[in-house]
Amino acid sequence: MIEIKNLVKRYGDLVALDHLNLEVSEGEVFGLLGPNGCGKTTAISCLLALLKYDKGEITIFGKEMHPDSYDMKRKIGIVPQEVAVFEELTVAENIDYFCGLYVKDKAQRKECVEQAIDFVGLENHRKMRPKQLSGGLLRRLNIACGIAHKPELIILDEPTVAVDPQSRNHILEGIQRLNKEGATIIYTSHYMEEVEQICTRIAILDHGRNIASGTKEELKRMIKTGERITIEGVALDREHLQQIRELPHVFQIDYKNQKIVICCSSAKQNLMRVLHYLQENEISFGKIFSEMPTLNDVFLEITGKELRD
Amino acid sequence: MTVFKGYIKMTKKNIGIVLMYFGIFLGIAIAINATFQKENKEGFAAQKLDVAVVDLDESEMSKQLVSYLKQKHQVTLQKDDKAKLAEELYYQKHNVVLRILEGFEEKAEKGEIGINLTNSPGSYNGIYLEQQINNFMRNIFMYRAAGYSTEEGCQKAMQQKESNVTLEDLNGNGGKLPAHGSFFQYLPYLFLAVFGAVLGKILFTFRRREVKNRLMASAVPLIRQNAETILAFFVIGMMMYTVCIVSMMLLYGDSVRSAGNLIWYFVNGFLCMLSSLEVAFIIGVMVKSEMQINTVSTPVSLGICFLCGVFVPLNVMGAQTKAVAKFLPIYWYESVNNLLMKYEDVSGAIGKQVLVGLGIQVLFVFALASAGMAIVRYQQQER
Repeated sequence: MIEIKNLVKRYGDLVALDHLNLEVSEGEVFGLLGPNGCGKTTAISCLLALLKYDKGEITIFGKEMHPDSYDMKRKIGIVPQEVAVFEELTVAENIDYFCGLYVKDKAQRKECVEQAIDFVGLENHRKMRPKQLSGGLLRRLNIACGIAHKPELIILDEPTVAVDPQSRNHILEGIQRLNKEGATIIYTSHYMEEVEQICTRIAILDHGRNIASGTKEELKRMIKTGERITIEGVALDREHLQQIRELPHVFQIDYKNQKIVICCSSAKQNLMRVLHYLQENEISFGKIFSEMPTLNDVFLEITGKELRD
Repeated sequence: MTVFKGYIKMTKKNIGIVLMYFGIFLGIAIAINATFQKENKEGFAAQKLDVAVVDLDESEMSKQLVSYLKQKHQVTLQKDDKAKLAEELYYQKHNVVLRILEGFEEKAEKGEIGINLTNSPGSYNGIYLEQQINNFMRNIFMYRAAGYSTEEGCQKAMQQKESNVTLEDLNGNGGKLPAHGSFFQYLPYLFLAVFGAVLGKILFTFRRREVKNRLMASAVPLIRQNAETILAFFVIGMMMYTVCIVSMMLLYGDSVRSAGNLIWYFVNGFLCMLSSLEVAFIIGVMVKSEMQINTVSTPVSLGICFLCGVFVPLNVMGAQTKAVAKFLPIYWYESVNNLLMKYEDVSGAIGKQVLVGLGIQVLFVFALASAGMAIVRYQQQER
């Protein structure tokens, strides 16, 4: 459905997108994950022909995207990062206005507006002005304005920033529902948990480049870390640390403030081996737990920095 | 027409601001006009004075003079008590004390006027009264020289009507400026203030980066969005203009009905509306935040109004100020308005001046429109 080839966008000397390549198939919930400033919003803006780019090719629905590709734009819904509504209009009026940019028929539009209000759960707030809504409800209105015309492709740019957990869940569930109803979704975020939760495929961006992409399982398989064991409240000397480092499949340890994080490659019984070592050496500890790698580990291992840095 | 309807809807939501400015404008226009009219009436009305008369001559002629003065003033005959009269003059019981001196009639035979006038310090009432007495006495002297007796001369002078003053009627209103003229004089303030505060604000709302992105990503072509924006500005401007014209007609019906040059006022007002819309448009596309709208539009509208003769008449402004004001369309609007107020017959040299003023305004309309479009185009290309 979407193909981005070698996209380059420069702001003066700054390279915002550096030969970015992406492919999104129909029916996917495609996640664009990366830290702030990695080029997610720039990529979206280029995709929608809101920004001119220096080099590359963008095709949507099999056609090259241009600023005047209105037949293609008709099938796209956009939910921008910042809330983009009119303060003077009520909830219903705002949705009606933005829906009116796509749907001319008044009766059809009325139905679309009602469905969008219902979808985002703003039935009791339809006559309120944006100023009267909480941050979470405002985000829901922002989404309703982007989806009311029932687009085939919905682009959501960090829709859950500064949103309370209840609204966040509502938004994420809604996105999954839209996808089930047939919409292809592009979802950008720097919250890896959200991306892991809803996206069928993910591309990790850093410095305007696609550094890894695939399903979350595929991404996790790309890195060395298969399991991460954390032991808290443990006192270890230099010799113990060396011995732990030499355990099978352990390739990295990090010990600080009586807490050790042991990174192991994917193998069976990593946790058992660590426990056995502690028992044998009569080392007491407060808490021990094992975790599978996250997208943050993927990002950390590829870029050498945390997603939230 | 979604973009167009959006502007109309949002203007309706800002109707409070429109009404506020309209109220201020009407208040100023009505108050200034009322003051102006009152000043005119007071300036031309004859004054009636409280005159205390002490007739020391008590002759036939002195009695005739008193009768004459009674026709024009509030006259009370008093005894010759200087202290009492001075006190009454001090407490403004009388405006003037006239003493008809002994031998008044005899002196009059010789062509002299034997009177003594006293009024409160700083007052010109004595001079005013003295002129009237002099006129009356001069008339008697004239009749006597023509062979009439003193008594006949007095009667003739009493009957003589005052000559009428004929003013040069330049504007067909007997020199009086038309009431609706001051309404049109303040019109630019209303247009600039309302369009700047309301349309500038709405335009900025549409230009907010996020909203603009949403609009640009939509299925409505950019050229159509721009066309609908211009149409919305024009329609809102026309609505405001129509309301103003209707209000003016309701307020100054008599003055308007007798005006032969009304069509020129309308054309002038229409051009003023267009240039004010364009100023608001430029403000709306130039400001960087909503806060800046009022910070910019208020001084711009007031500045233009002060500079171009809306609040201060052009004829009291310095040459240098006028030289600067000539670079603004409202200056030409006010120049044309002043001509229309003075001359009802717009033909010949006056007609030429009016047409030049209107022509320059048309050029400003095109120049401002080009400037606005150039800014928008630059901003769109910058992306």
